[in-house]
Amino acid sequence: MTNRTLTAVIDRIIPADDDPSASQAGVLHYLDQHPLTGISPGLASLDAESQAHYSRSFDTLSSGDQDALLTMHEQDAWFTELVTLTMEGYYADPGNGGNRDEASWRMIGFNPHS
Amino acid sequence: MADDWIQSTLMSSTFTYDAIVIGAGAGGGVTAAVLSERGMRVLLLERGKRDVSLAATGRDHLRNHRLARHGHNIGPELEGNPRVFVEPNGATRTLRPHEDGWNNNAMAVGGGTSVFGAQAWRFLPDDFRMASRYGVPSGSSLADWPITYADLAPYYERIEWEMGVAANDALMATHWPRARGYPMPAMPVNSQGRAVRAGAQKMGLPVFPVPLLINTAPYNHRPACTQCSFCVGFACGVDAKNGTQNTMIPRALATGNCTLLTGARVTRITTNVTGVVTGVTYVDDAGTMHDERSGRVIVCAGAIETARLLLLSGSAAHPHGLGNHSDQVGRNLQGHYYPGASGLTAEPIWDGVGPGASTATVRWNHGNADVIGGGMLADEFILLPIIFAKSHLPPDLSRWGAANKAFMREGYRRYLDLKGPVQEIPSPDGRVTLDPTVRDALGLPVARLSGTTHPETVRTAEFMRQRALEWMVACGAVRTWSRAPVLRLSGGQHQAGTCRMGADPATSVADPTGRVHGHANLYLADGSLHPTNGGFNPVLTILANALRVAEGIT
Ligand SMILES: Cc1cc2nc3c(=O)[nH]c(=O)nc-3n(C[C@H](O)[C@H](O)[C@H](O)COP(=O)(O)OP(=O)(O)OC[C@H]3O[C@@H](n4cnc5c(N)ncnc54)[C@H](O)[C@@H]3O)c2cc1C
Repeated sequence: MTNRTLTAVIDRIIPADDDPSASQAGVLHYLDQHPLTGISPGLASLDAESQAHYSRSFDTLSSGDQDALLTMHEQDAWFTELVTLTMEGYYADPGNGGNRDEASWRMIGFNPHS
Repeated sequence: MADDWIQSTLMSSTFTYDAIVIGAGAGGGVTAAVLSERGMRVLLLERGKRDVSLAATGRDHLRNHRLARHGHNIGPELEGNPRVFVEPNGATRTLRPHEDGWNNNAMAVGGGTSVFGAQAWRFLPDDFRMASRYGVPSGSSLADWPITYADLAPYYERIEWEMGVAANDALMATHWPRARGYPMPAMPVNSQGRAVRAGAQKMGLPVFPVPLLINTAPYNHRPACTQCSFCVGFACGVDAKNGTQNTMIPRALATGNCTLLTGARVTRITTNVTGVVTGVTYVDDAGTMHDERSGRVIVCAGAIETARLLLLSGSAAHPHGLGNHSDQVGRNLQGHYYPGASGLTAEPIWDGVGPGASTATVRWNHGNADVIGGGMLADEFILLPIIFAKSHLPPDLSRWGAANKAFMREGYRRYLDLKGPVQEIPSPDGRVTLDPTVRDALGLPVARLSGTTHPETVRTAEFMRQRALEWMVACGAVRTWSRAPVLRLSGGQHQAGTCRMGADPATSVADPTGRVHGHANLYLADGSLHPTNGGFNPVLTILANALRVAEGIT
């Protein structure tokens, strides 16, 4: 349940387009290494809000409705922390667990010389 | 009297070492080389690790000395080494070494030079006479150095040759006249560098290649730089970056006179009943305490830890700590404000050719109307993608969502960054003291960092930010952004000033030779000695001054 919510939220933080979304690039593996204690209650209440407003779980909302709900929580500590971790999982080196196949580096054109 | 004791100590063969050097960083590495090559038996004590090779320290994008989000690759250890940071509003935070506010440099053999960006700047002549040139603003402790540029020039040149600096002889000589050139030609420029050079030309701004402590040709039996994209914050993959760990310290060890102990943390500088320095106590890797006596002690622990160690070494004869008779130890903590401008070019420009800091101007270091001093401006090192994402995006861009992703995709290769270190106007209230309650793993009071720089620093930083924006516009940026500076304390990787040298013991900690006032055999030879920290990255000055101090040690 919360895991579905988590996946849905990180895929709005970095949505899919021609390049992979956060979860498609393995960000959940990155998040596995970090305690989400401060974040989980936020996800739970986000889901509860979704049920209250739309009678549906957050992960089944349209991306527009998801973004609208998340925008209301943009300043919340749990959300800014999740944004920070999601960006780390997506753009840091694959050795950290995310950024599968260096997908984000190919997207932005980071083609390092070693 | 004390001098007799020292005399007999210096003659004594009962001590294993003629000198103990605390800290194997920039200043300590130079000091150990000079003394051991002179034939002294030297004990070099370093609290960090010995192997700082790339194989041992890695390229973790989230744990390095450019982005220490979850740790770092050099040191110190994250646990057992807290510091306390006092916010300008009085709130305190107890921090771990990789957290903002702890003000880490890098603790291991080589100190900061193990992973530095290797910018190799001399200060300008006026940087040594800031108080005379500009006057002392009220509330500031701005002071002249007790030595001049001319005094330090020969030592700068020796460091440039002995450690290896690559630079453009003719262009450097227009700002720092010199008889002898540099040992290696300047680093080839990358495409971002060509863009900022074109912008400079358009506005008539004189620029030149950044001098670097990096081999651009084989030198000192090590190869030339491969211009990789991972320089600053990491060890060099081909060992072409010249820190003390691969220059001065191997030289010291090659004499057979220098013993380097790593994992050795000095806990106290010891004194006898008359207050004369007799040696140090240190704790080794295994946790065993040692008492080592020696006729000379040279403290090179970096500006924050040098001050802390002097404060920790009090006794009946020195109730406020060593060298602290005038309440000066730990004051005037300085680093650098680093204002700058970000810009987006019309077309992709990134080529990944390192190290990146390629082009600089010193046009605004001095002589600016209405502000005190100024600083050097240069382009930025190649940025890791996650660093770009965390701290280089436009302030009005959403931190998440489709727009953020689109900007990352479009912006990374269209990005330029111009920035530079502003000469800080020191305040005596920006300082290191001992925290009254927080202890490290050995039970010793930790450094407490409090106060701010002087407000004049913020004015100069804002002036420099405007200059960076002008230059960025001249580079043809289609969009520019930057952040206004705010009053705060700095230290960190450019930390300096906490035990300034000067002629007057009432306003300084060490005399002009680096010897602590009132002591015949206690010296300092690191960034703590700087009365002011220049509008430049400080390491070449620290290295040159350490060479000068070490050669004067009797
Ligand atoms: C990522 C990075 C990039 C940088 N880039 C540049 C650059 O491009 N140009 C530039 O000019 N400068 C740069 N610097 C800054 C430069 O490295 C420092 O200015 C310089 O190393 C400071 O020299 P120091 O001798 O004062 O202290 P350090 O080099 O910090 O050495 C102090 C040493 O003392 C040891 N120590 C501390 N306490 C104890 C104790 N109690 N017992 C035993 N040992 C102890 C520490 O572990 C450390 O190794 C950079 C630094 C970093 C980290």
